[in-house]
Amino acid sequence: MVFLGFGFGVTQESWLPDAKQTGAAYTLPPGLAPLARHQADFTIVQGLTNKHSAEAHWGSTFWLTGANRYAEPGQSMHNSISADQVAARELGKDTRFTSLQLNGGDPSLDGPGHGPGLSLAWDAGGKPVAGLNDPVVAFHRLFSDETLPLAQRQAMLAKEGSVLDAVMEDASQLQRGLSKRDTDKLDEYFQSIREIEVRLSKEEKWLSVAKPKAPLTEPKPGLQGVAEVKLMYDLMVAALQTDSTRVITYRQPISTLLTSLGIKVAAHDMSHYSPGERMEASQKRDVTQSELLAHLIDKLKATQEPDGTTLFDHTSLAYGSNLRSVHNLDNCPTLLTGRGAGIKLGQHLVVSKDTPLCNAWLTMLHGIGVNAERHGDSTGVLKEIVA
Amino acid sequence: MRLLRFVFFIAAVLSIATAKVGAVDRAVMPEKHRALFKEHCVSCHGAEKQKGKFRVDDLPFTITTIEVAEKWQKVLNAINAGEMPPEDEKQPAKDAKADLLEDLSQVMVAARRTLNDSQGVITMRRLNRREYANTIRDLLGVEIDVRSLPADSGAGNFDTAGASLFMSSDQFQLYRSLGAKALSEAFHLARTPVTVKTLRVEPETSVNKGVEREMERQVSIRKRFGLWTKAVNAAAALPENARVVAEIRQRTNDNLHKFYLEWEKLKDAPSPAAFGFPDATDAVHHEGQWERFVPEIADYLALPLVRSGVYLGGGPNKRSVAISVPGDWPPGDYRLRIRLGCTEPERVLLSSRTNEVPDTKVSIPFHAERCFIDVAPSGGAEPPLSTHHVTAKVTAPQELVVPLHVETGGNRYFRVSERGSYEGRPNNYFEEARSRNRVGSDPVLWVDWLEVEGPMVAASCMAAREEMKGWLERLDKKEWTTLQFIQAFAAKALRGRPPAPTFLERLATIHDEQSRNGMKPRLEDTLAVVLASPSFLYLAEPGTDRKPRLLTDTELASRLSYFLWSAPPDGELLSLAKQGALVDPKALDVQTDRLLADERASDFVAAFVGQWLGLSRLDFFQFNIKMHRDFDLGMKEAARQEVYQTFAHLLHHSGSLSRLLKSDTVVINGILANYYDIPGVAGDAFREVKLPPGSPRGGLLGMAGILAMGGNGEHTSPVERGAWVLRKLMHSPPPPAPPNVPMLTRLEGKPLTTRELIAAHQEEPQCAQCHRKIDPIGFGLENFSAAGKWRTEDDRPGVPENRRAIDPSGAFYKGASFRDYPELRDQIAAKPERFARGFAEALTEYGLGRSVGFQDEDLIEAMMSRAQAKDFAIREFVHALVSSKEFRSK
Repeated sequence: MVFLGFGFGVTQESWLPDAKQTGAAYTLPPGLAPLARHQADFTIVQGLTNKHSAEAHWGSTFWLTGANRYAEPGQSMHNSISADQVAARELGKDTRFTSLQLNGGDPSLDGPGHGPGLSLAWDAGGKPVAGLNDPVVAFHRLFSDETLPLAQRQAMLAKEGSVLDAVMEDASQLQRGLSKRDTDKLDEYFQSIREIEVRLSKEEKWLSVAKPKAPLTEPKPGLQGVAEVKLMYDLMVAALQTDSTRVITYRQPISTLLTSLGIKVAAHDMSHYSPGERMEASQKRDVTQSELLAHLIDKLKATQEPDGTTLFDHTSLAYGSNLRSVHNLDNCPTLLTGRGAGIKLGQHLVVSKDTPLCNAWLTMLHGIGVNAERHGDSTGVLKEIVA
Repeated sequence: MRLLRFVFFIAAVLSIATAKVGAVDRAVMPEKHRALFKEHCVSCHGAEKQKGKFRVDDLPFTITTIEVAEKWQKVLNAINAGEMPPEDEKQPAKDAKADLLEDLSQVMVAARRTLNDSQGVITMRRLNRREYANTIRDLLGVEIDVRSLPADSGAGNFDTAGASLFMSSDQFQLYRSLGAKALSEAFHLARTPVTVKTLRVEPETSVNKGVEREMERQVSIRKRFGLWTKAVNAAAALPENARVVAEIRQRTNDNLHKFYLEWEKLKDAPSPAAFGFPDATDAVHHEGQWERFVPEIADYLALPLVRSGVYLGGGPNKRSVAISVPGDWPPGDYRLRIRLGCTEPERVLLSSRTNEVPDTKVSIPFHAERCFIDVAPSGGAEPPLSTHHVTAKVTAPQELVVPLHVETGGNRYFRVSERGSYEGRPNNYFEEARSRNRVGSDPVLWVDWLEVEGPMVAASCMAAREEMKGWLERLDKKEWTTLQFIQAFAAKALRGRPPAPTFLERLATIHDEQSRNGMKPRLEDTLAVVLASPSFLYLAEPGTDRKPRLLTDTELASRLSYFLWSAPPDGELLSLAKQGALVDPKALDVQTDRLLADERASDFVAAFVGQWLGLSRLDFFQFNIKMHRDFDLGMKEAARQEVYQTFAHLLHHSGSLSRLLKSDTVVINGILANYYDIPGVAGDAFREVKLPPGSPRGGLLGMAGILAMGGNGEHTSPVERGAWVLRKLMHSPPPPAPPNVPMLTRLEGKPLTTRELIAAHQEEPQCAQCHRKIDPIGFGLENFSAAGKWRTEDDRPGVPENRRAIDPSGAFYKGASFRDYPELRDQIAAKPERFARGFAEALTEYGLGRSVGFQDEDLIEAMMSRAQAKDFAIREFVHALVSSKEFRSK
């Protein structure tokens, strides 16, 4: 299951298909044109919305969660678990990495465009999950084996265990006498330590299993923008292909993408486009992102599984943003692809206005066998997209 | 129940009667809108019809629950999006609709503030990224790069708000690795005696030698090209070639270079390879370079001081000088010393060696704005680290001293160039000079030599290093056991909170286990665990949920030092705390003054002022150097510093906050004075300067940094500026940009002035509700360009000349009118109370690490009245907050 979020929306005039042409026979608008060769293999859904979203510059914070920022009295920032993390609880059990969070190496990533967060993922407590910003680091995490002998690695794991014991001891001492709110705060710390413990016990389990051989060469450091996205996509395919993980999110870069295209317009200005230089920048961004996605789909289709199927047959991918364009948060741009979740492909669907975006996430979750009752503000599965 | 309602009614009336200037609004929808709701909404959304399963007739006008707030939000969204009332229904009058939207938007802001307010509870706070770096510096005496940690900003509040400071498993691992790195460096420094070394570079030996070699190469090319073409010409003169020559000449329009490219068609013409060229294209290409490169090189080599130094400049032969800190010198602080000066404005332009331009005596326009250098890492591909004013002449050069920092594994190579080289600014001058004198050049800066000296130990790092040295000696001499070492370290790291014995035991276990498992135990790794433990990372203050309690002295010491230093308490503060002396208000006042006077207070100024005024916006876009020549990165940094330095100046000299609204002095340095055209300010140090009469500067609105935020690096944005003024200076923030408002498409693609473009905002009530307040203020500032320079004409492209003149006049919404910028500024400055209130709230939010709500009314009033008694002195606000019950309580 893969989620690709691009923050600052799209150029609605040239990205969204004509709402009157629905079904399989629709004209691809210019912003999606590079995906023409895959038209039968993806579906565009219009009308999906996170109804609680009111932050006109946050394209990613609530994208996969559908949460209401103000749901908790006394808290000005509330979030809930993201769809990928719900999936990871099930799909992550048997892989080395429970889930993989990737970020664009864009220094302004938690500013306007995506909104607060450390990746697209939010944990069960609604806290941000950290991601990897550097493709080189991601590569090594996935494919580089420790060179130390097994006994030494075991000793190191034991030491890690003692380290966690020590800080847990300190945390329990500290917890005594704390107020409820502070205890909740400290709970984030406990939670992170527990996560590491789980990771360590998993690492212990995987200790004698060598990491898979990398199906791609070690990336060059310092790639930015278009080259960086392409590389991250290749890494995703490699991670899925080697079954290192089955859940991936990627919070894509914006500023560096524009820079790498030679566009001088700043990302925020681009999103507030009007005819002229800004709109051209916005459209060029759309087309480039579509080209990159088409490349990713090519790769997924070209990657053979032992049983003769392809990776595309087993992947379920959503590509979009909580922002449509400018300050618009309704009708979130949504593209679904991959045959892994039984989604009806090759369609342009216009669902009734203000249908929860989380209905789409719930449908995907059900499609991959995670039978959650609801997700975020979902009201049910989206029957229109079920094959 | 009836009684209760009655009591509530009285309370509501009272609160209106006693409402203070700009006090936090209650979430109550004004009654006057009830009629509009009845007329336009209830028929479909009332008890009977309930279209879309939504009723508004029973919606309370006073918002007390999140559910009611959500319903009102839905109403607001529907009207903003233009969905309600539906198009085919009767529409409310535009003004009434705008008023309704304005009130409802504000009520929603107030509702969020009430319902989602922290209710005065301070959430336990993790050290944010800045505080973490400072804490490591004070603890270990080393400065590390912490950019791998999350920036702790983004949710819209201060980076001191505990509720927004999260923790993740990756972050925990980062704290461990950063801690281990800092500890290794600290151990290394403590065990290695410091020897200060010096290295000098005479740049002419490398740079000018390179220029001479280039000249020789060019001369040789020209000579060989001459010989080859002479031979080709000779062949062309042969009668048997006449026909083909005529044909080529006609086809190439008699272009000689193109002619030579076809030499092979001529009988007996020699190959260019015989003259050292790979092919004809290469030969012709090199010959074409002559005009572009050689006159400038020839002139350069004839400059008066070229034997003893290097002239900096742009153009095709751009020149800079560089020095590196040798790889075997330890990481730390270094001093870069540069001997340099500015050239004389008159000289002989010598290019006789090119035989094309006669020697002439020319006067060079003296560009004072070019007398600045940038110091940048590596080869110019990275932005400058700092920018400096060169104030001496070449006849009596100065020695400029620039601090450098070298980290373990970090950059060691530093380049000095004319300012703005990163953006290509010197090229503009080169091209301008070339169009004037056919040569280019006109260098303004000359460098004699460069020198690095160090490592220098910063005073702030000295004490920590000495202490670490002493501890390590005790360990090495076996006076201390490892456990004792760990204990001493943990005690210091935890800022006066004694480490729990069980924690220390666990730490010792880690250490012992390593040796048992055959690993070489690294003390750094064990101590790094302390630096990732919650007692170190959080400012823990135990307490109950029910009743606030006074902080212990030790807790208060930390709260104070992290407020005013963003760093841990020092020895003096901690020892006072241990004696219980901080309960004495006088002692607390004295300590507050001492902390403010310390160098570390600059962290408070930058962090607080930067976040309060939203200065990070300066980094959201690149400034177009072609349109705003002098607003390069060095100037941008100076513009940011001006805001901090002005605030710091007022803070340190008991200056009034209202001087940020209007002032007859500015706090500037050389580069800013040059930018503002204020004479008599030389060098990099900031100082207070009296403004010349008629200057538009003085106060925040006259600062380039503030004005530059209100634009996109090319053009101004009156909306950004107007909203900023309402938000920051008038304490009347417009609600956040609403989602899903339809765009005005009527005016697309037409060349309009900024004013015309934004007048369109008044057409639709959804836009007018906010823009009628925002836009007039923004227009009043239109005489400042997107880079904050004074101008009289709009520079938006496509606007016809007769409509370019700027008209700054306007009126505040439902308020006074103004003719020009000075009147606008004066009217804002006439209401310092509103500004002061916004400031007091921001300071409280920063200092307490939580939002300000209704319960803080008394606190804010107390701060205001104490400060007002002293003409709103900034320092008084700080004292008032520190001495408040809220600051001293958990």
